[in-house]
Amino acid sequence: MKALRSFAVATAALLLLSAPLSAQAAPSAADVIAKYVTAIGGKDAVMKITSLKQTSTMQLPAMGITAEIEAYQAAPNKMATKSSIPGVGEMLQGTNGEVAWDANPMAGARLLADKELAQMLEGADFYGNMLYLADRFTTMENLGVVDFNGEKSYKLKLVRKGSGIEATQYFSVATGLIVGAETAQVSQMGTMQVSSTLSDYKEFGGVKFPTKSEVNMGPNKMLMTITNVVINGAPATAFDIPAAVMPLIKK
Amino acid sequence: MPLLPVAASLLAASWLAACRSTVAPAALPALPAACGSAAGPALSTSLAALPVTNPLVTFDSAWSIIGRTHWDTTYNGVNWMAVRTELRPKAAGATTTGQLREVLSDMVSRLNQSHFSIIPREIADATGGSSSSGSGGAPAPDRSGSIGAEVRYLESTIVISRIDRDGPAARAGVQTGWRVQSVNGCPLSARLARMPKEPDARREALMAYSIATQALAGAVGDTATVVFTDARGADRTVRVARAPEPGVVAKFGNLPAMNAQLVFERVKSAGKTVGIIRFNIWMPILSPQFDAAIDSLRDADAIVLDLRGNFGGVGGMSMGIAGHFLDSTRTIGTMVQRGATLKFVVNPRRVDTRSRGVSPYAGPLAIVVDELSISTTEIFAGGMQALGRAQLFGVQTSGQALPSVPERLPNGDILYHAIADFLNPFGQPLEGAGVTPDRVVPLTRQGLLAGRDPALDAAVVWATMRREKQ
Repeated sequence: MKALRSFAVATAALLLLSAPLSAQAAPSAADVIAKYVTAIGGKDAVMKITSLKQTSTMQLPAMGITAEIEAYQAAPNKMATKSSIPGVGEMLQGTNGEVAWDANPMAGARLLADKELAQMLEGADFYGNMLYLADRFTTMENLGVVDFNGEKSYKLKLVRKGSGIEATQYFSVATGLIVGAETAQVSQMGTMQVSSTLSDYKEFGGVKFPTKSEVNMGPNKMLMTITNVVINGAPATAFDIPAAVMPLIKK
Repeated sequence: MPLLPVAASLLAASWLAACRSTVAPAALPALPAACGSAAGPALSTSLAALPVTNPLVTFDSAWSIIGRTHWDTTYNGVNWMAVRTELRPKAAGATTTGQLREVLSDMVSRLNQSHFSIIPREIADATGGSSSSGSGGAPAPDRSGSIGAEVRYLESTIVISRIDRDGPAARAGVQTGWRVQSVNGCPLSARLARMPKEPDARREALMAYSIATQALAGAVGDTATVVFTDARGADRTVRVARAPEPGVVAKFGNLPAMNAQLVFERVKSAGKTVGIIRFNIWMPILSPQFDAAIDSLRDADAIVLDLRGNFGGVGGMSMGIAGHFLDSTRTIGTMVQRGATLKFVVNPRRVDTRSRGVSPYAGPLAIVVDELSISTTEIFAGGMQALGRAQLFGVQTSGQALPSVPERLPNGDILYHAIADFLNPFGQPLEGAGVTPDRVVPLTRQGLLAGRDPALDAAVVWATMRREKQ
């Protein structure tokens, strides 16, 4: 799923532990990305998409909690999520491309700032994340072929131009698809190391999305399952600033 | 779309810091057979006698989870591998669910830390308010009925400390300060005498509280015959029909269903208006109620939060509540996990329940705590005290404040286990130490008999005087 691809792009890198192949043997990072774009359906297919609505679940097995998530994204740089958690209520996060917000029943509403804002805005970069556009990165480096979760994969180091956030991503040598990522997730509470595996690619509107992912944040494990993707299915109102956030906007 | 921020928020919303059914001691003294099942050990539940299958799968899972997630790689000085070596054969020999639970409880008790316990699945899966159980076994007994009174352990006895205004006990004429001598013919003193020796008076008080509340609870509609000793030393036998506890039933993930209640009132003191908010658990279902209470009390001269007997709950909620009282972004403490250190960051609450811009409440804030103020309550109260935003009254809190999660084991039971240490804004751990009030005001039976609530009274007086000075 694009969602998962884009978060992986937006996230930061970890240690480079594996033994890379020689520079001559490995394709360039640009080649790996090009193969990936082809694998998911090609640039033309991606460019036909102007917005997405995805429905998913996010489980915290250790807690026995499952959140139902509605996520919207639209070109060039908007996104919004509504997460419904039993016993908690609705959590809203998003950006209209200018401001970014986080509102939930326990903590109230706030505007994101600094690194969190940068991270959210980069995460909302619709085509930049779908296509891994080279001008979004200061570094795109293929570190070689490694074994990731039993699959031979190219290990790419990616550094975002705006935020400087690094990500390590794994692209299957066989399929070209992303199979995992390692990163650091910035939040107001601090930074958490995150590793994820992506699988079960399915096609929606001519583009493949990974519909399952397992995310490990420190000792916490989360399972995300995308149940549906509606191509060009995000209404403009999905990115309206929530009423609870409006009073925080300086006129 | 990037779901990691969602995941991070979901995590932040989910960390627990204890709740009623997870901090109550598991090793409660059993009742004599003649006293029925009202206060048996927590592990002696309806499925305990069932044959156990694959006990080692469950044992190994529980051992591994703690081995992987405990924030301290020395396991609080415990040789975790040796614990496995010692107890695994006992788990292998368990033939009933109850026996396996005893081994598991023994294992987690070796850590000698709060927030490690085994919650039987029939308790975890009960939906609350009835005897239903989602675990497929015999239903857990209905214990949702209450006589409408709270108790505390004072002078080695159980004393009525608070009475619901319109509850069964109030209607039956029960008074605060009365001693509970027996319930349905079972003397409490015998059970209290069999409590394991506990050097920490706070733990002893918690154990005694658990014994008494289990004895007093029962099915809604059932009648309890309670013998009290009144102010004059005379025994009074009172029949009280148990009623549903006020509030709402809250179910959060793998945790057992719990009653959640928030009440607030305005009182007059020295010509000032003081808002008093009391809630019994940190469950998100109460967040909107708290927000509404704050909206109602924005014009009050001072606010007092009565968090006595609040056993904790969802840790993330502490930040949201604190935001109602802080006008800048602050940190009320730090959670230290394996591989991550996360701050409990408080953002000022600048929007009210009607989506209007407001300022956080700036008047005096007092917090009342006692030895049964546990976990998230300690995180919140300790943080607000350390930031100089609140004055604390009462007695030292429980000192059980470890962020934790309730994880399902292969046999269906819940392994409740801590995953982090928690440090106050000064970097000091709350576990063990708890929070010491600025003004120590213990509860006394004499005060209760006189209809006074010394700690709450002191908080109200301080708040009004503080307002005068502002």
